[in-house]
Amino acid sequence: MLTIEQALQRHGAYLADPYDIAVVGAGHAGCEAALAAARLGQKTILFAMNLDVVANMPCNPNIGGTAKGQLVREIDALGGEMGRAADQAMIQFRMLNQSRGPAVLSPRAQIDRRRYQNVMKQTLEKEPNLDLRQSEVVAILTDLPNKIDNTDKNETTALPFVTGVLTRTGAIYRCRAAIITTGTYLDGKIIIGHVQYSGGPDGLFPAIGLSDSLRDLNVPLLRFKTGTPVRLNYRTVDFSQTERQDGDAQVVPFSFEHENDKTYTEIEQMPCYLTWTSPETKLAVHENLHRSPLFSGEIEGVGPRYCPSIEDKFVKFKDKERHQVFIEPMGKDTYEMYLQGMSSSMPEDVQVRMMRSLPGLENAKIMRSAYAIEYDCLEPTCLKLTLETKMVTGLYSGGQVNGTSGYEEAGAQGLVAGINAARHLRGETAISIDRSQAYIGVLIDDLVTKGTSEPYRMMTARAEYRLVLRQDNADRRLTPLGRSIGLINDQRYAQYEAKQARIATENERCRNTRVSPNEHVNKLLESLNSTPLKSGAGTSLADLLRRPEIHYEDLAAIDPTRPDLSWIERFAVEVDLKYEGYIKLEQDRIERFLRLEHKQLPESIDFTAITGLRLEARQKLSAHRPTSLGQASRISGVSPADIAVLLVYLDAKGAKTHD
Amino acid sequence: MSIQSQLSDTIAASATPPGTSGVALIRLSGPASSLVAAAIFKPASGRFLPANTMAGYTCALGLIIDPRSQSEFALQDATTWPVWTADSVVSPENMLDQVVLTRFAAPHSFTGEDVYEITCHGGQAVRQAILDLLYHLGVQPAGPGEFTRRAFLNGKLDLAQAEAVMDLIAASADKRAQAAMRQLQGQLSNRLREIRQDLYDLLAQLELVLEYPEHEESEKSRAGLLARLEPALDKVLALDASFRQGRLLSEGFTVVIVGRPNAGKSSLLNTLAGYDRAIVTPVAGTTRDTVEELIDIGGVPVRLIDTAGLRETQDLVEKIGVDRARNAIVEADLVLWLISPDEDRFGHPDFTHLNEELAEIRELSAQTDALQLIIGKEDLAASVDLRIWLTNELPQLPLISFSAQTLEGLDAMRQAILLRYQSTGSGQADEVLITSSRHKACLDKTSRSLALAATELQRGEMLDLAAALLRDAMENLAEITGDLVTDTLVETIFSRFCIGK
Repeated sequence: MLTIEQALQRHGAYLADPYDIAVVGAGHAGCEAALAAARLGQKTILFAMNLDVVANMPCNPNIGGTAKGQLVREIDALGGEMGRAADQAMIQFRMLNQSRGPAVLSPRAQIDRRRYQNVMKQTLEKEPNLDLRQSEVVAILTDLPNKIDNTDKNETTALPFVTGVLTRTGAIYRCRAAIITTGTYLDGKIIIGHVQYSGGPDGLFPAIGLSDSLRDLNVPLLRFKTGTPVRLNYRTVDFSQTERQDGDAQVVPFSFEHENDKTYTEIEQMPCYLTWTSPETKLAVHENLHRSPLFSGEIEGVGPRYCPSIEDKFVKFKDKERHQVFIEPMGKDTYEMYLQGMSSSMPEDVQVRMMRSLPGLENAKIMRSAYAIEYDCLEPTCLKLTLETKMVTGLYSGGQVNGTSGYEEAGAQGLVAGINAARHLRGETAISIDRSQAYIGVLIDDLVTKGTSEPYRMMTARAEYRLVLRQDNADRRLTPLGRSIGLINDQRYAQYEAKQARIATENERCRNTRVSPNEHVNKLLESLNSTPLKSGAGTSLADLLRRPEIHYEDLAAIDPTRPDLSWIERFAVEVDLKYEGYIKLEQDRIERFLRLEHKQLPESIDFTAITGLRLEARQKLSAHRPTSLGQASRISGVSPADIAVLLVYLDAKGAKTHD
Repeated sequence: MSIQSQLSDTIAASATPPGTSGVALIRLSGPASSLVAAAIFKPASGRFLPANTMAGYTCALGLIIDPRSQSEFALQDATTWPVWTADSVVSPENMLDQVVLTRFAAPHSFTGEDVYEITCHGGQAVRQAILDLLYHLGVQPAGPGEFTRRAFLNGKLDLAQAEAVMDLIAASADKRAQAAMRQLQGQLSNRLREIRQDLYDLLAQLELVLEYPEHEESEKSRAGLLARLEPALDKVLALDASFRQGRLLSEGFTVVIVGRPNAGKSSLLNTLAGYDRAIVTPVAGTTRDTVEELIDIGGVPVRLIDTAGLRETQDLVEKIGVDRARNAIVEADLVLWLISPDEDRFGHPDFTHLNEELAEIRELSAQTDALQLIIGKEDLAASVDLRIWLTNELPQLPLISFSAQTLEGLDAMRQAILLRYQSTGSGQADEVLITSSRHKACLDKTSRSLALAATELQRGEMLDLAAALLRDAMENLAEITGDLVTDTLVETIFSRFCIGK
């Protein structure tokens, strides 16, 4: 533990300006955290190792995708920044899973990464209450409460609390809360073949020292690994041998604020290209496997299974002859392209050989090499659902440093950490979003309750209530919460309410508008492969929409009085009607889920003293200290029988207090 | 934990059903059980150790002693309680019974706690005296299903196994014991997990399609989904269908006797029950209510139900009886219809009410061929008109003439019951059967969800719904074994346990 007084003894140390909240790291988590904290009235400082890479995208140049697109919409609905910034830097839009159901329908955009950085950096610079500072934080400064009076043995009051942060250059910034959002920088190590060196992503410096400070505070750390593919020059690619993939004609912006704004719906788009690995690629991998640090054991960090390197793919899926490779633009003002699917930690010469084995890339020039990066991250079960660490009061963390992967996952956590740090200082109760409310809730609960053994990627399959957690209703789910937190202003809230009213009105109109069985109607139905209406048997627009083969757009011809709604509003009307029965079933399941979720476990509960709990469960529960029975049920090593015991215990306790 | 709280956490109950039998079993479980056992059990000879030092899985012969008359004994102070050895001197008036004591040391016992089983003589008085002694010493009477509940809570049983134990206790006929035993050994659980694994694989494949829409394998995987779902659905349906057989074994093959109060139903019931071994004493009810008897015919547990008549009545109690009779017919595997015609004022038989009864039975009974006609021998002999009516109205119906005095027709009736049993429940003996209606309800929900999922997969537009339905199916399956526990589930199940297990 290092106190301000002790830090001041160091050579060159000095007291800099004081703040309420310090955010360490200006990536996607840090930006959201700092903006939220500042907007909630906290004097906030955001540290970046290098101000030229604020909100950097060191890996894929896109935002959104399955589950991730939903996260961006949720961030936006709560009043976060990612959606707004992405809309301003969008160079291609696709709505994924168009024919697979609304629950998995996911927006995904290619992003001009420089533009994104500039937009975000300027947003930070303009924000009152927020200072952006290039500097490396090397230690979290803390103190113990009641230092003089040691008689108080209460464990919670004996936790150290945050008093400031110390930078490499000796500046001590007093603060009452700190948020660690260091991404992959902590003790980062770059690995390319047998070449290894200390480094951060994208050729930047790693953060050295902060890991030790965290260890010193008893924050448990893990070592994870991730990787990124080569970047190459557009002008060196023969695109005639690739398949061009354009964006959708219908662009749906991420942010609620841009829904009906032509600036964001009518954008100039850039194409991606698809090519495939060849037999030569496979050969290049197999001839050089002995040179791969992944297979020689030089990489100790745990990498993500869902994002395997190209050498991993060829080794683990032996039967597959070829793999997809996408060539994606990185911005409007650059010829640099990203080669999705070719992540690798092979030596550079092998990387060149592999890349040139792809059709169309025979003469391509690499601009940046692929690499693997190893980094320290927090063992996320050391966090509360509020994203505060259990060891240090006022110390929060969010983003990749919590064991996740992806810009969207990072942003979501940063937002929650920023909100809760601010609420903590304002003396307000923390917000916690449960699994039935948002992907954000699923993400954080999974992390802090179950932990993770590899970089955690959000997937729709992780959500139990996917039919309810859709991208189209994120605002309906979360904007009232964002409003009550204080991140949604009056104007936007009024617009939100107007939108919901339009959807509700149109829903009613569809239920009440009769369709009579005339030739015009039946011709349309036949053209849609739908059963024509029998004469005399009229129906409502709503009933027609409930037919799986009929979509809202299809009925325009027989529905002349329909209002002019945005794409997202029309979609919401259709889903609300078409899925009504299923959504109701899911609501029932959510109610059952919430019964366990709302059974609070008292903070004072002594799990070791509950007879009937298996030893493993007692240990796990004591270590995790879940706040509800629902959370307890999701801890690995806690069996249904243990939950039954806890139920009985709580009932018995409840009965006693009633006596 | 103090001795008092250990005692209050220790339970005892008779594990054998009430009534006189050769031997009876009293089970004692909990942290204070060895303290209590040592204080009430005196080994018969030096070959046997005192109860508290016996090893697990050993038994000892000895006497149950009431320690309360010992001069130093103080109820509130357990340190004063005796530990009897073979050499201890005991006056004869304190000896309650000669017993065999078996010890199961924690955690290797049914409940996972320290357990003693006292095998005593089967008389009600002896058994009650021993239980009274235990309860007086501070041991708590076991609540309904308490032993099984502790076993479940201590991780000894999963829910399906716990329920199977309950079935085992109530099981009487051999076949049923076998089905219960197989379930206990986890065969049902294994079968369910097998199906769940199939569904899990399928769901994983579907999730791949949804999660990676741009992946090259996405379309191919999508095409193969339906072909993988169908075999899983078949497995669920097969298990679901085994319920009828399972229920026959668990609840008994239900035979309902209908007929008017004076038609001789009671003597028919008594004859069948009297000839065959009666397993349970009659279920309480008014004389105008249904009366139930569980009997064993050729290894088949048969639930024999005597009903009130079907006639409309103003009497409230009788009305309830008539409603119950109707319900019994709805659930019946076989209806024995005992007919006896009224006579008109000229002494001729009147068939009006018979026509009414027949119509009603046919309306209520789900299985049209589950009707067996029984006619009193005397009636049949007396009435030519009756025979004519039968030939005209019921030409297809098998008929047995029965006499309670000569037992004529008894064998024919037993044969008819067995025949009907064989034709309804034809499950394979080595098959996994489901016997609980809770399991049946879960399986029904599972198959419904799977069928809907198949429809969605076929249509191919809303794969998210197909996935939700698959998940739903898996959750329903998991609910059977309790792999997922909702707070209501545990409550529902434990309230169904009978005392003593």
